[in-house]
Amino acid sequence: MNIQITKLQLIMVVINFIIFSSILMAPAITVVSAKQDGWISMLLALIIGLMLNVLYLFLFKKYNYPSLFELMNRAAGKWFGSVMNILIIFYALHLAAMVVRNLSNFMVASVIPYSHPWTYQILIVAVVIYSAVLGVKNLFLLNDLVFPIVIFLTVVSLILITREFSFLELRPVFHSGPSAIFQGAYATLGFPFIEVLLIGAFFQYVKKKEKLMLTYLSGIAAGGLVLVITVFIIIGDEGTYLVARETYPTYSVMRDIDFVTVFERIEILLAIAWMIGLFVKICVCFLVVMMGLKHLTGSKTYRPYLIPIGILIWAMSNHLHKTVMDFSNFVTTSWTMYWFTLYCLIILVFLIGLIRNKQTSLNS
Amino acid sequence: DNKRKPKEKLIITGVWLFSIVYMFGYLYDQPVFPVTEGLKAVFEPIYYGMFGGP
Repeated sequence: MNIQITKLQLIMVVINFIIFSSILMAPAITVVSAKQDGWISMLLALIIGLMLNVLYLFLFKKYNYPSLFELMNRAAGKWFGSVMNILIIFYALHLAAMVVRNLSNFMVASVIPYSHPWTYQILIVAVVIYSAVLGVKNLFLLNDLVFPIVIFLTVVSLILITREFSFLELRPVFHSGPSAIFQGAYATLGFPFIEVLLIGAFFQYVKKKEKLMLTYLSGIAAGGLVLVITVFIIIGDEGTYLVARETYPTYSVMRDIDFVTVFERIEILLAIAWMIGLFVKICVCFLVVMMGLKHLTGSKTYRPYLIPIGILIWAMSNHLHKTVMDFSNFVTTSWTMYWFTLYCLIILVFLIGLIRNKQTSLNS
Repeated sequence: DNKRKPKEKLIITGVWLFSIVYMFGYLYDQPVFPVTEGLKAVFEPIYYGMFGGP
């Protein structure tokens, strides 16, 4: 089947991928170390993330945007390319499992306490499998439909919580010092600015590839700016002490909205937007796994892998971390360096491929 | 010709087997493939080396 996606569809998926799963957790992760300068940490993470992605896209462009998996084989040869492909598949699988776990943690902790996490995990994995059956094009078309709704809900939520905003909570600026600000940026750099490199698997489907780099980077910048504004507003609204103590401070702040009698307890609107965004993110990861396995086996379809990978994601989401604290601790301390390792390996493979191409052209 | 190649069959069987084994590992609380522990052992010292801590 001939799959073609537009640059607008790609940018919307990138924005969804960046904002959701981070918007509820980013304020707490940055504020723990950077205090009232948490928003500067987020801005620093965005700038570093953009720089890393500029290099990634620049090297991708040299190969004229093939599939990420095909590129690995082309640049590193059959064997090392296959090892890299297995590694990328594992990273995508791990990310999907972590996002599923994040969703169930949130539902059990904040939305429906005392419910069983398996309920949400099995439901979301089932919907993701169904979406994957319908293919890549389906995901991008679905995102076309839900993106305006999700962004509308997010923006309205952010506007409504500005009523309690106070600049006093953000002062003194730069009080935490550069080390604390960098520590805050470190945790939010891997999650979401480095993991967005998985979207490279969909570049082959983009219709007109000129200015694809600008499109992709503007998607990252737009998503990152929403996160910076969110952290800024949340700190100004609640103060660093409360934000640092909560797992999902954005959701807690939303609970306090009391805007005329009609607008009370509307935090579930942000939760709905977040769940839709997470669904898109899990779908992207799931499809990357499927495309990787399809490429690895050279088969015509990825359908035989749908059910086993769905089972694996569900089992991994529960088995990787016993507790919510363990999950949060792992994301804060290890996630960025873990993804940065993959980033460095991919860049290294790109460079090896370019050197090999140059040598063969010189020899011929 | 819709027949699957041997390599394809092998990988499909491998993926199914790994998923089932991992699922039962989770259900019976056995460390089948301790990803998190391994990653923590590698990356946590780097984090604490950079920012201080335990």
